[in-house]
Amino acid sequence: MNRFMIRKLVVKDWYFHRGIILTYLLAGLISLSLLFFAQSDALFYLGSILLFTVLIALGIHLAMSTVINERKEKTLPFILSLPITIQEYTSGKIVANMLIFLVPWFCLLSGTVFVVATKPGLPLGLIPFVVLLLGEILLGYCLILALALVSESEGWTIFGIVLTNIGFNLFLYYLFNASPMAGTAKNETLIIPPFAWLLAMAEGLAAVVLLGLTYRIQAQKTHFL
Amino acid sequence: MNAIQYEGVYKRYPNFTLESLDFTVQEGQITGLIGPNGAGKSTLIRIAMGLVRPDAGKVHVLGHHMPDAQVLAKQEIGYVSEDLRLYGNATLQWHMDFISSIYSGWDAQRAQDLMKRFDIKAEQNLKGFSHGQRVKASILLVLARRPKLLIFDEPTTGLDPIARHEVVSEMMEVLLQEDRTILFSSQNTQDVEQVADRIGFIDSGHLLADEEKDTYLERWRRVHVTFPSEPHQIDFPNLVSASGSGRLRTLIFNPFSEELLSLLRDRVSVTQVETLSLEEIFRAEVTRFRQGVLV
Repeated sequence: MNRFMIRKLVVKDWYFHRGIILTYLLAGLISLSLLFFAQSDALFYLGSILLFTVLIALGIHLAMSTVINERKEKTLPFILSLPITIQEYTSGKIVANMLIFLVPWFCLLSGTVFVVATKPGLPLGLIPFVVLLLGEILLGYCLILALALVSESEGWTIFGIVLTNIGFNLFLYYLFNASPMAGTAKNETLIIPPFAWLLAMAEGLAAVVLLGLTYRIQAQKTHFL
Repeated sequence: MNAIQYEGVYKRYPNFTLESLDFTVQEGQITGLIGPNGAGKSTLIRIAMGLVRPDAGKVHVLGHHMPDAQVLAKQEIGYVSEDLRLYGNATLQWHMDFISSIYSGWDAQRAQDLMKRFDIKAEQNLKGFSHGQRVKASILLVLARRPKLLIFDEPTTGLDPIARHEVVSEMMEVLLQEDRTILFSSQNTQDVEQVADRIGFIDSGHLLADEEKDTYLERWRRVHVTFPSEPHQIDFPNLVSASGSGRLRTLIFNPFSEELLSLLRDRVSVTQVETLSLEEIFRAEVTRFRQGVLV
C-alpha cells in the first residue's frame, strides 16, 4: 500500500475542507450552548434538533464535496493521474472522510455527554441514548460515503441521504419508545443497559462492514473514469 | 524501444467496443492519435494510464505492465486531458507545491520559466483562469517535473481557435527543445499534423492506420482527370474514392506511384496531381472504413 500517496490525498482533502470543519464545529457549539443554557423545553428541543442537523448536514456536505464534486468538477482525472491505484484512492477517500467527520463528531459527542452530565435536571440515563443516536448518524454517514464512492452517482447518493434520514427518525422513535431500553432515559444514575452495548457494537460493526465492502467493490472495478 | 505497447487490447462497454488492436508509441517520437468523438481515443489512453482494465490483451508502458504496475509507470508519465481540471479554489502555487511534494524530478526554475512563457500567475486561484490558462497550467504542472512520457488526451478541445493555436504552438516550442516521447490525441487533424512524427487513425474502436506521418502523407494523392467520355464505372488500382460528374473527375489514391500515374495517363487526361492534408486523408479513411471497405 502506497502510504505516502494516501497521506498526500488525506492532507489535500483536509486542507480543502478545513473551512467546512470549522463552520460545522461552530454550529455544533451553538447547539451545545442552546442545550446547556436552555431554560425551556422548547429551546432544549431546538438545541437537540440543531445538533443532529449539524452532524447529518456535515456528512452530506462531505460526501458530496469530496467524492461527487471531485467527479463533477473533473478534478478526479488530475488525482488519478498521480502515482496511485484506484484502491489507494479509495483508501485515501475513506481515511480523509472519516477523519474530517470524526473530529467534529467526537467533539460534539463529548460536548453533548458533558452537557447531559453537568446540567442540573437532566437525567444521566440520557447518555447511552446520546451515544447511540450520534452513533447512528455516524453509521448513516458511512452509508452515504459508501454509496457515493461505489455508485459515483449524485442520484444514488441522494437516495442514501433520504434513506439515512428516514432511518435516523425511525431509530430515534424506536430507541425512546419501543426498544428494551426505552424506559431508562429518565434514570437519575448512569447504568448502561446490555441492549445499549449490543446496539453500539452493531453500529460499529455495520460501519466497518460498509467501508470494507466499499473498498472491496472499488478494487473489483475494471474502469474508473 | 516502445514507450507504450498495446497487444491485442480489447475492451467492451455496453455501447462501445474497442476492437482487439495492436498499437505502439515509440520512444523519442511524437505520436498523434486522431479520431472523431467516441472513436475510442480516450479509452485507449485510459488503458495506458491504468484507469481502465482491458478485457483482453496486454499493455506495457515504459516497460511496466498496466494496470498492475501503474504506480511505477505514473511516476514517469505526465498526463493532461480535456476532462482534467485543477482545483478551482486553490492557487497555481498550491498545485505546484502539491506536485513538487510528490515528484522528486520537479524543477522549480523550469516552472518559473513556464509561468512567464504561458503568462500565468502563481498566486491566482484557478477559478479566475480562462480555459486556455487552465490548460496551460495543467501543461506546466507536467512539464516542470520532466516526465519520460507525456500523454495529452485532446488538451485543446473546447478552446477557441486563438487559445488553441497559442496552447499548441507554445507547447510545441517547449517540447521541440527536448527529446520527449509524446502521445497526443485529438479530433483536430491540424494540431496533430503540426506536431506528430507518427500518426494513428481510430474510428468506432478500430485502428485504421498507424504509420510514420511523412511516409503516410507521401503515399496519398488526389488526381484531377478528364475522361475521354463519361465513365459508367471507374476502376483503377489503389483507388480510394472518386468524385465529380461528367468527364471531369477527382480521384484519390493510396498508395500512389509513378507507375500508377503512367497507367492513368494511358487512359485519361491528367490535369493535376496534388498531395492531401492529413484531414482529407482522415476523412477518406473513415469514409472508406464506414462503407465497409476495411472490415
